[in-house]
Amino acid sequence: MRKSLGDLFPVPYGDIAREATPVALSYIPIAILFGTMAEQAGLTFAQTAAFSLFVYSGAAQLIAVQMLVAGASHLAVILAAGVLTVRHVLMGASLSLYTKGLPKRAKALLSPFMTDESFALAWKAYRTTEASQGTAHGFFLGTNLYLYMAWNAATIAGYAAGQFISVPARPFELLFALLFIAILAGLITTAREGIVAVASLVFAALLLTLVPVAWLIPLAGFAACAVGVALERRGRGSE
Amino acid sequence: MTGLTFASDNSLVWLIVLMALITVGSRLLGFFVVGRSGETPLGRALHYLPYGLFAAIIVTSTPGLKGDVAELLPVITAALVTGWTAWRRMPLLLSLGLGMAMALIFERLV
Repeated sequence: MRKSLGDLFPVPYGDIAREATPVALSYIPIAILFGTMAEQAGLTFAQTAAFSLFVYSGAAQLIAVQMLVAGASHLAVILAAGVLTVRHVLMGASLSLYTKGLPKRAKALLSPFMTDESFALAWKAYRTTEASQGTAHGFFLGTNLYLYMAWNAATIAGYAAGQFISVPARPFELLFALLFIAILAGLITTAREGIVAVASLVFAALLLTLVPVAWLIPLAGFAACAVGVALERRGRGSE
Repeated sequence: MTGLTFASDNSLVWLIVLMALITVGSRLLGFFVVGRSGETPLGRALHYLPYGLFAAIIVTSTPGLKGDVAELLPVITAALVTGWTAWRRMPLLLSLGLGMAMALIFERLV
């Protein structure tokens, strides 16, 4: 049977509204924060909008603006973005189990807009929908586009607001940290993953005053890999 | 914010283009190339990578982590509430809202 873009339809609008609206709402303050920070850092409207339209990664965008303001080189910013987005390779690999039957152009439509949150929602949809995967592809596509529009609209709102207000940084900094805490906690499905997460937090906290942030993130990533693999081996050894 | 001006900085355009290539490329890569590496040793190790990356982002973005423990109490409380509710698969917005509410309450109390 010839595969086509039609495999991405129908789009279950009701399911998307119910599942993705809370995520879209949680994007708004973060995107407003990015827009405000970008405006106050001296980026033009076009540059700010281009970041959200083309880069479309909250963590990478916020860290990029913070690093630029701190005087970091563009190479350092690009490396940080690369480190931050490595996880998307893994998320894509996980979802490819469900999308491998799709034509390349359908995958090319689905994948560029995937975020941590849309990955989580899509993963759940693919696992709970019928074996034929029913509307899961449409759910993934619609959720991606819904969140993309919310992020970009809120970025513009934040940029506009940044010209008139000074956003208190602390509540938004805390919200940003809490967002990643929620994502990390939501990823934990086994005791081993929980141990790896806690060990990584302790490791990162211990290194916080010892190494630059740009090194801390990959080091914590490698540490998590080492702890995870060691726990797997120990688990096999005791079986 | 220091109010730097990037308006005339053409290199920023290249920065955005390169960052876009990285963020879009990393999303495409998993769907097209990495698909079957899940059970290889490298795939098993990479499975744990996001935990470390997220942990480091949390630690580096948490306000006041190098400060006084008493000042950190609202932040730690918010983190525990958000983490627990998210782990219990409660909606993201609810987890964030409860965490922020706990931080505000504890800031008033401490």
